[in-house]
Amino acid sequence: MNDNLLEAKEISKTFGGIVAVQKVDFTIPRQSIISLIGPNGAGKTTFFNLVTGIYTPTTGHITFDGQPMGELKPHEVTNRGIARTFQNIRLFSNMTALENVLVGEHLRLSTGLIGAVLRTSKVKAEERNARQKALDLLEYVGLGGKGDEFAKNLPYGDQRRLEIARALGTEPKLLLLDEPTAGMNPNESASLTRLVDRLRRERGLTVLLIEHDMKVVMEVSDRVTVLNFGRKIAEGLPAEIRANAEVIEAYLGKEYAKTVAEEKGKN
Amino acid sequence: MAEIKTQRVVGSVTPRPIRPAGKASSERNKFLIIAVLAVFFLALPFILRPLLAIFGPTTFSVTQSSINTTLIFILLAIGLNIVVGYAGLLDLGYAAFFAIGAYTMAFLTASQSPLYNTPFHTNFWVALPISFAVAALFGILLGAPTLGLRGDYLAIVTLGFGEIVPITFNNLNTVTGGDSGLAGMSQPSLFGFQFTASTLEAWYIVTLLVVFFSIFMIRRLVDSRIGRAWMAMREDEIAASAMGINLVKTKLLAFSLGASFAGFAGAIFANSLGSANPSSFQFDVSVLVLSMIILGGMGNIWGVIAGAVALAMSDRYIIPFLTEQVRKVAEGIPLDTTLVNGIRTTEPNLIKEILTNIGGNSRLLVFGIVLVVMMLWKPEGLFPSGRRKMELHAGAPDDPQPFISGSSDPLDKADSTRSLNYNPSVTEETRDTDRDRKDSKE
Amino acid sequence: MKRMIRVLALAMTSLIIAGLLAACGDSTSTTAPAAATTAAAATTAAAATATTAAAVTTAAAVTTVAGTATTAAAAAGATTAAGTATTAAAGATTAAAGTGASTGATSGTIRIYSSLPQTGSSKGQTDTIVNAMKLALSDATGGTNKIGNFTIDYQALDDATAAKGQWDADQEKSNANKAASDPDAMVYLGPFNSGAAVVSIPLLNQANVAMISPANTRIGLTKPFEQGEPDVYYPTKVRNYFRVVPADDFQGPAGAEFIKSLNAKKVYVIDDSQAYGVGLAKAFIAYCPTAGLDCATKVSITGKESNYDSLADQIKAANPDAIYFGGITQQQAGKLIGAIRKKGITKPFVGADGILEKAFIDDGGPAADGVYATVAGTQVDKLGPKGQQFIKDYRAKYGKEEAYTIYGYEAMSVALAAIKAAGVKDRAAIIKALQNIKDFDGVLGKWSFDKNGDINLADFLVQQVKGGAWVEVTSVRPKAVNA
Repeated sequence: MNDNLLEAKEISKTFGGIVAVQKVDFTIPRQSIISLIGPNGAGKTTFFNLVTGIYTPTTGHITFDGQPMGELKPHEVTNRGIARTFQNIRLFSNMTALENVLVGEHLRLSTGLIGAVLRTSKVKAEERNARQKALDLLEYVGLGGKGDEFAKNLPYGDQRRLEIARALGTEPKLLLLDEPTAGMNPNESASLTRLVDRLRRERGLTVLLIEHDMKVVMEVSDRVTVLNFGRKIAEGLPAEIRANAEVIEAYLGKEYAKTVAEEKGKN
Repeated sequence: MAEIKTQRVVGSVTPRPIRPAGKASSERNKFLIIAVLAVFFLALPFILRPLLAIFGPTTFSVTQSSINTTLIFILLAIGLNIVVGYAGLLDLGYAAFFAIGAYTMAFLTASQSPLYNTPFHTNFWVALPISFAVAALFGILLGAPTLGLRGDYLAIVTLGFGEIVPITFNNLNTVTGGDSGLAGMSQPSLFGFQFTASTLEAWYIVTLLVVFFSIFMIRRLVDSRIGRAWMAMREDEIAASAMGINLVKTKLLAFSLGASFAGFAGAIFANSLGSANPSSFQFDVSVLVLSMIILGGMGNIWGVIAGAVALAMSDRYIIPFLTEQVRKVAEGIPLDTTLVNGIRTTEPNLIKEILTNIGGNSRLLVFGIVLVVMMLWKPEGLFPSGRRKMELHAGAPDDPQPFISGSSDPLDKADSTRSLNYNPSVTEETRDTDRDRKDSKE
Repeated sequence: MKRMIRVLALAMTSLIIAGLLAACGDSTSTTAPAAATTAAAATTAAAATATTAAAVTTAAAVTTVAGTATTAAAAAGATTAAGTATTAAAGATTAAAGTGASTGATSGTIRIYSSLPQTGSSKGQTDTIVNAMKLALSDATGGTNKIGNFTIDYQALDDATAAKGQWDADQEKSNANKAASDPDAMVYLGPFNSGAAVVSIPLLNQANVAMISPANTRIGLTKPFEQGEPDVYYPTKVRNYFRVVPADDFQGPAGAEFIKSLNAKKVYVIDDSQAYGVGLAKAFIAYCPTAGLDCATKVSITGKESNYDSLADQIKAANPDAIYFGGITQQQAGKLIGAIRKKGITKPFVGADGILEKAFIDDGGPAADGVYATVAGTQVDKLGPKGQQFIKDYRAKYGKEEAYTIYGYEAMSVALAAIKAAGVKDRAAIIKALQNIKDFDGVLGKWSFDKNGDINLADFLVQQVKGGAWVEVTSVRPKAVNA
């Protein structure tokens, strides 16, 4: 078995004439937490969508768990063991927290049309187990006792957690988190960071993280990859990335760097 | 663990427990209520017949006819509710499946059918489930190529299908009998009792049993893995698909299942009429059924049934009765008339004209007004499901999201709650366009 | 909670038992009609409002009543033994209870229903028919509504729904059931549309109610046409359906006769895909050899086309001497004539009564000018004295008549004549009396019903659009086609 759960070789994605992702090589070792950072519009989300099958790469290919990804539909990708959360929370807001997690489990259940109508003892047992598992997952992410709340009514931080619980329901090998701490206060961020760490430690999950909050990135990541204008500009340990000049320039902008230099020159 | 306490939702929405932590006795009570109601509804015509005889010899027949029609519409409404209410697919051509059910029944049982005197000619009881299956099959045939379409596009394709089917039945003269349809259906008999178009009670009971069966089936489906998938898909297609739900398969199931209930309805409707005729399956049926589920409350089977009862009864019974009264008043108004060359000519009388029109042509108008008022006053319908109500009355207070970094696109948020229309690429493409702009600046 | 359920259950059970008892009570009352105990008790209140004691048994829900119906028919000597047997075998319906209840009465109320589409596009036409029926009733009874000892009550039913704007199968069924379940109902005048007749004939056939249509022209309703016709409409094998208009098998030939009189040779035939139009075109083409016409080209329109320009081009290329249209206004006949005239085709355009209405002129605009249409009937000035009188009276009372107005009058008149001849309030006897109508001296002239229930008078008027109105130009009498 390969040590890398996911390998992306020279993948590119163009929309019309615009190159969103350009020849990116990327690997995710098993049971690691990898962060993907970059300024707005750097191609992070496009990259995410390539991995989850919403887009197919224009060139290059992706291997997951030793198997080529090919052209898979999103639900097939999920079936292979990749689950994700969304940058702008996409919960089923008019369903309860428990139902949200149950939808996550959809893939791992087998009740069909006739079974659902006849409601055989096998179906009942399956449904009971699924509910128990969903309750356990809610408990795990810190939403114990909130199963009957409509997703929409949960506080913001809890909605982020619920998205993770729902993703866990699909029994993934790789979990993709798209800015999980966006819009959170420092306390919530810290607590979520701990949860991500636990996912790896306790559940053996591999995590790919898109994050803006550098504090979170530096704290939890094994390795960090930086994208800018669709290109990979840096890769390495968190500490290395923090010191990388190109990364700083990407984040603060050439103009700014120039201005700073000029200011210095005048003085 | 740090928790932010937010205020609870305003309004009356209380979270519905998934499975009431029920004691056995409450389960038994529920069963008892259902049993009593079922028996009551089954016995309804036998109560109505002597009761309505008080109001004249024909009152029962007229009332029971409307009730039977209403039952057919209930079947149609709960079927369409699967497609529109649960799965969130706007189907404007639902009458097509109604027609397919009716014609399947006609082909299999009518003496004018080309299958008459072949081994395929059969009786009502055999033809009923076949009509169900054939309608489902056509649901798949229509759905498979088109369900990739979203929202408005799907609505237009179904609209087209709804037009094509009755026209096809009309124009395939040699097979379908064209405009006059297929007549001479062998009507069912049971324990020596022969059904005819006049045995209203018998048809009522058969239709009611099919309605019971359909409600039972739909309720179980909705409260299962499949029902959750439909609902998730309606809430957010992208998220549903990311959670491993096969969108095409799930949509197809909803679509064909919805179609199959229309097949039931069509089969019973045609056989109780004794003939199938293309004029019974026009666009107005699709619109009427859609109005029923909107009025009653999309997504809630009891609300939808209430909507079907309200609209069907007012279309067939209440509004005709009221307009008849207005017409009578209008007829009582004397007119100024003169004889010109032996021909009576009438001075126009505005009041009489208006009243006569209200009495003669106002059903549609009244109908339209009711629907518009409903949409403005209670967009979620009379008896909405809790979910639906929240969705449509979502105000700022119960929206806990503070702000979302990296996305100020209002489409983003709207999409996640909109049910019928969603375009997944909007977000991405918007972002890419932003990027493009940045690029060109550099 | 439990208490509530128990009360609910108790209340409903008692209601159900009461209902079932009432129903059973009626079935026992069949064997001893005088002692309809339970039902009588349940409907005593009704007796006060309802006109006759017969109404008491309305609550009957059981087939056994058929026994009474059959005996009654036999006693009245109205039906042949064979006929009676078939009626019984067919499992007489609840509706038959009505007949049973009114057995042999020689006085009381007799109700006549009409069922015509009085909402939507046919309203203009059907309103005049209803007026004519009222006039006929008033004329035949001298304004008293009495025929012998019977009081005639006429009620007009609408078989159209607003949502459709035209006749509705379900509504027609409801109307027919209303008549079937009314013990006083003896005659059903209508329907207007042949499609509606397909629904109501079998229903009323089983209920033994006589039908007289003032407007159905579909051949198959009374004569072999499509598969299984007409037997499919008469489950009891007793003919209860009559019509006072000649069927399309005369209408088509009438058009052909007229086109022949225009010295035309080559005819382009168009139908509108509906039963009426298809039947018309078929009969027209079948008569072409008799009239010496060449009718090789026939096309169908669906009435849903966005325009008829390409069809008009085809017609122009074919260069016929005349165009025959089998169809109705509502299938875009106006648009069709517009397209044809726009292409400069000025050859005669001949239709039938389906376009003989104001709506066609409105739709067609100036292009409608010069269009011919045939319609059953004779020119007003060729009508007999009775007909002349009717036209005069009608115009004086209601205004201008429409094409079918006179048939409405005739349908009501012949119904009343049959009631008078039967002399007994019995559905079967009245059907028998209608079958026996011979040399009826009506507003149309002197005529009889043939063995199929069809009128044997086939005079056709030819009308033409002149200056925005239909004007009579001539009349034709085609040879009988299948007599």
